[in-house]
Amino acid sequence: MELSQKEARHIYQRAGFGVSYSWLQSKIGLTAAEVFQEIKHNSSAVQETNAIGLSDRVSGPYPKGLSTAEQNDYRVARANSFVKVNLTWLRSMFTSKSDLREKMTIFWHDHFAFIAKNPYLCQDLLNTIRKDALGDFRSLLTNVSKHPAMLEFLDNQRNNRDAPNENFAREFLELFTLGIGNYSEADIKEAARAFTGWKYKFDGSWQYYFDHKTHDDEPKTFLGEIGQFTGDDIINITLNHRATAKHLVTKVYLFLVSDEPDEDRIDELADKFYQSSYDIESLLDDIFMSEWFYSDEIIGSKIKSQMEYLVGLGRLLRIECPQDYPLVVMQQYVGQHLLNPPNVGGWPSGRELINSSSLFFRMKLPQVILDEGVEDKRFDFLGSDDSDDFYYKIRGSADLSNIYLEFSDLPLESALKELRVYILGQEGERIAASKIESGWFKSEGDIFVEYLKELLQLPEYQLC
Amino acid sequence: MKVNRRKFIQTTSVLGSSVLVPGFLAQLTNCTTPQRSRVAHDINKLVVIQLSGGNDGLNSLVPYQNDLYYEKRPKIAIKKSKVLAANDEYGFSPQLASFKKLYDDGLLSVINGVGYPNPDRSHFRSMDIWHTGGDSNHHVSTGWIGRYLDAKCNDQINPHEAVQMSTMLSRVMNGEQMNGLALADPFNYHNTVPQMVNADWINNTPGPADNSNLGFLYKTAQNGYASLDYLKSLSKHYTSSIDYPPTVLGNELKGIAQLINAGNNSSVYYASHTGFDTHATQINSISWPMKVFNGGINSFVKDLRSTGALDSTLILVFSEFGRRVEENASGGTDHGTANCVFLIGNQLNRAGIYNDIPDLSDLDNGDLKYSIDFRQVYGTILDKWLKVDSEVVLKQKFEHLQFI
Repeated sequence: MELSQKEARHIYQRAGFGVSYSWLQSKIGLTAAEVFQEIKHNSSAVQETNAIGLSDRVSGPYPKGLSTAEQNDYRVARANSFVKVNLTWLRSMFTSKSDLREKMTIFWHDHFAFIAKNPYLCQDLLNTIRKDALGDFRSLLTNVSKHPAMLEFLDNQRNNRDAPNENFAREFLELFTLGIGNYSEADIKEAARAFTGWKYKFDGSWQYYFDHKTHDDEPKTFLGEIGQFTGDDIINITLNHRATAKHLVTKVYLFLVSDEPDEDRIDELADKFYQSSYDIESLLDDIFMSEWFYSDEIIGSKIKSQMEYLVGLGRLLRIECPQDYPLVVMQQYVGQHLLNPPNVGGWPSGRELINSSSLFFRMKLPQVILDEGVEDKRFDFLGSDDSDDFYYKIRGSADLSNIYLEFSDLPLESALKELRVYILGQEGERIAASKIESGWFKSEGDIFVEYLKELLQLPEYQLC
Repeated sequence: MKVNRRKFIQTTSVLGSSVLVPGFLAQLTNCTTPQRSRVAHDINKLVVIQLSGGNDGLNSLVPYQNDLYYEKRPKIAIKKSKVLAANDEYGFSPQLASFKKLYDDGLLSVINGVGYPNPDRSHFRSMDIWHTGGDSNHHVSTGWIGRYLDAKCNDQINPHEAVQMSTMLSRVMNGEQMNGLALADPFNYHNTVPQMVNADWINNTPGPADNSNLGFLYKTAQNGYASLDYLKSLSKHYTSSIDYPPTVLGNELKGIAQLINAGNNSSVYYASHTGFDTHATQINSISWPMKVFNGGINSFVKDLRSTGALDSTLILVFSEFGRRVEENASGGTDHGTANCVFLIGNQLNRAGIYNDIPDLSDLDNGDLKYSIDFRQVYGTILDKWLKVDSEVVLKQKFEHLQFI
């Protein structure tokens, strides 16, 4: 099946964060398989986030014997390192080609939501997730579960035979694998016993190790099975249950396909995912090669997730913020401060992202950027100049030269029409055209920028 | 690289005839009516403060004469000598000195043993249950405050009737037809409105009126715009001079106080505070969240008292569950069940310690047994304070309590 412009645009919106107009034009007429194959190929190499190194001052355990002043200094250095990790990742996405991998890394880092106390471990767990993001879920689950940052965050370091701590086991079953309703409180307790002994240590580098002394090796009864289970056994048993496949596939469907789950499609995908032994790449193939994926019901109907909006806009307008804090604030306003989930359940999604405050922010940001931040000027948005103020100004600049280039060969009317379709998709083009006819669009000065500004403020721009 | 943009620069304005279509009022539900002027101090206001993570009630209101309490918590129990005694049996954690003061002033009612049947110890599920007011085996998709808005719609109501001080709107604020308004920065709100969203656009824009995502986006923009002028006019009326802890909660409470004191006619406000999930080294980890909470409440009540607004304001503080009675091996506590709830105001019928904590010798698998269903608290507030039929909102009648 040859892709129309609408379908090609759709694949790139969902498999990544959108692509340039000229790139998109060059893919029309290819098949979905060809395009998706190329997308996967561009994501085959794994580009790690390398904001801080192991020998960095804040990468090891919290130093002992510091004076109060030294402790404050250390905490500031540590906080700055966290910002570095976060922004190195965000900024890399503005220019990366590895879109599918980064998209799925965002997905899995929400699924395995964690808050790290150590910035190096934060970066390392992010890289661990990225490595398996398009691969084998069993490997991803095991590596994430055994990561020092996760063991620390969910208190498994303190889960011992004599005094089990259930936090890790609970979230493992509720969030990582089976999902609510598929296990009992008793199963949590038994799983916690099985996970005793899973610890981490630092001896020059951070590593997982199995602590026999604190492991409870008595028999446990878990999901109806009895045995002297270890954590690895718990992983096997939960993966053997189809409920795990369904739970995972439901989340992937909501993330990539639609805010409305479709039971039949999800069941079919989950069956295949289970049969494939939880191979993430095959799941993605199944989704992107399904006919229903290209239906009118699906194309252009999903509310853009936080990063679909922010990275998408960042790439489109080539946003640059020389200072760090504005980019952090922008993440908070769109509702996803990467690597800083509000709680273990991850970040909100779908309609939860849209209320008058957040929607106005999403609509206003491009307006401010285009009003003030082009032609070597700088845009300023919100907050005050007082650095103590909780709401910090968002300042930066945008560069429209590429986007001008892409459309400058066309006569004005065609350029504007092509721009409409490119920015809003086919459905949006219809709406925008009718608004122009009804006199909604007023323009003076640079008509291209004014027009772009109005398009980016339309509610239609919030869909993909 | 400079691009030749001359062809794009024009001075023509593309102005056509404005097409009059029914304004946003038609596109919103028939539940909204134009704001009638109501004076803020005439309206009974509810401020809900959510402590996320499961606040340890037993270490907040301490049964300092109870041997079992000390037996079960050798490391983390609050020492008798440190407790701020309220009466012969109970006292406050030393970190909650403001609460002790409120108690002494007759402005605090502590209701103990609040929970629900078949308690769920998952953060999400239990918070969901408190948000929706549903039974623990039901999944309800609307929140109790959202349904309060639905129920109130035949009376005077405005699009900002219920305000949440955040950029995210929680499920508690979603009704069948009405939603609360998320306001991160109320007095700066007018600065956040996109240039394109003006009366002209609102009235002429042919956005869909259905329940598609696009319809939802248009409706949200329209609702946000509807409150704009009103909120902007309020900003001239009051600026707080009270110091609040410079934190998320501090900012949220300050925002609420400013709105209330400026005369805003919303009847419900919602704020939240995190950090209460103390699985390990509880004594350390609870310290900062408590400090912020204590300081925030202190400033907030002071602020409301300064204008007399406290006379018509009731504050409810809750958490999604308490914690297990026995401490764990990490110097912390695991998720529990029944917990205490705080009510603050100067219209309380029964201030003080409302009832006893559940029996520490008669536990449910290590957890406190509830004696008061949290929907009784909601129902009492809905009927007696917000003057809306609680049975409509909660789908059941729950026995009233006597705190108001």
